[in-house]
Amino acid sequence: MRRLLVLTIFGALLLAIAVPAMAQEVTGGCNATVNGQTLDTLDAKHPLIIEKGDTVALTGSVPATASGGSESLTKIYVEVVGDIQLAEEPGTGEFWGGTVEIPELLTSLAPGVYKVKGTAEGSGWLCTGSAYVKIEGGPWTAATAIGAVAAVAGGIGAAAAIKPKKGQIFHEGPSGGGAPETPTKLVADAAVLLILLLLIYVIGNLDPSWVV
Amino acid sequence: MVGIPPRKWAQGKPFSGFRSGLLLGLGAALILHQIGWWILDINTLVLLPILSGLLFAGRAWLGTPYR
Repeated sequence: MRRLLVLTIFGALLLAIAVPAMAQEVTGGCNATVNGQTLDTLDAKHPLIIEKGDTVALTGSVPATASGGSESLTKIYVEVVGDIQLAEEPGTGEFWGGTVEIPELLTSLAPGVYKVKGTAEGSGWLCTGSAYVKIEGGPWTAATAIGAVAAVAGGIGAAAAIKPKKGQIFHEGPSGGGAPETPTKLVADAAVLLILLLLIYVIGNLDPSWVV
Repeated sequence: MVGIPPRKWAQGKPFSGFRSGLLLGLGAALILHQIGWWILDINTLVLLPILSGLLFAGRAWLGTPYR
């Protein structure tokens, strides 16, 4: 019972670290669009759909407080365990922006939804914005195959790891030999799977900026 | 009088559980990305596998109940 309690507390702690997801927005007083669509409409559930080889064009206007004709620098990133810079484009005047192509590595191996971020800065102003894009690739990709193999191997390994180490034999029962208590084991297994599903749900709604 | 014998837990292999949970978490992250559940970021590619590893290490540490 004490071990079950420890495992339950562990699960509760995992959930306690969850923080609410942050909303998409453009900061710094700029207006911005991606391929002509405003950023606030392109969340993870409604991403901008692009095909392999398509470009992503991020454009915007400088804040009203910025002086006309000033120089600007636009940087565009894609987020995959940290930000990978795709482009850095200088500009002048009241508009800024840049056009990038999503790296071949992502479009070929793991098409799907990605977060594209942009920053634009000039003299006395800085704007940031982000949007989600979905690279079309179909359900059967290299990433799906690798993920399926890893998940199955991990599941088999996890089940094997639960089994007792060699030499652990109990002789506590009245007949002189203990037997596995299946209902209790099933409860423990179900609790772990439930915690894993909750983790997947919570992590899917986390904003990565709370970590980095 | 013969009572119900006490429950005993036979500990499993926590390190093996951690490795397997890590692998399971990585696989789940890739599959869920491909079906559009989430994006690949530090949470899904690093945090989830580590927490999954810890979770299954905990389950392996808990082990199998015997009576």
